[in-house]
Amino acid sequence: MLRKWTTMIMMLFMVTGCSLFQGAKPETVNQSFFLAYALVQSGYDSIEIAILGGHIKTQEQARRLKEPIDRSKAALDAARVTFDATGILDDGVFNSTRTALLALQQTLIALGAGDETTSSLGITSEPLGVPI
Amino acid sequence: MSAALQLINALISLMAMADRLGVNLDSVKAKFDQAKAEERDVTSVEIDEMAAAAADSEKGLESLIATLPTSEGEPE
Repeated sequence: MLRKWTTMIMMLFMVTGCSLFQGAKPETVNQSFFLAYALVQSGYDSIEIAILGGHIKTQEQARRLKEPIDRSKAALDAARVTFDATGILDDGVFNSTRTALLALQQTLIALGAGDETTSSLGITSEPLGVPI
Repeated sequence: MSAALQLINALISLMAMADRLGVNLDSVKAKFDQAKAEERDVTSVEIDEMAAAAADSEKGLESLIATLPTSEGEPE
């Protein structure tokens, strides 16, 4: 019963949460940073919901899922510092954020947190990176 | 009885969490859409706020992870 409810809530969050940004196409560096941080936040929140829903059972499992999101956040922080100081942007950092979130969602789905296809989550089509 | 209470408690926590997430995402999207509608760029202050929100989510997640057993079969 609990599993059914948590799966339903998890799916609702993943589909609505991620599809919120489906139509969001960043046109500037700032918007790309904004969206990338929003995706990072949504990654952490997804893992939290999967823990509460009983899909992630150990610290080891949770940290394995969290690690790519941590890397994305660190890369974003570093890219921002560099961009503010030099005006030089490694825009691959935005796409790696999206890739990390996509991998996270696929893993959560594999863990039973939902059976939707990743294409319906709306995070595969538009790259986040923008030319300066 | 205890199991039933735990189940209810878990459901309430989960629904509160899902509700909070929905509000978070809605406000982020609204802020982004507003900036686009006004044809202005997202400011660095707004990016700072978004980065802080991500950091808060990470802290919350870390606290939750700490309550899990370290690996399968080990006690919490």
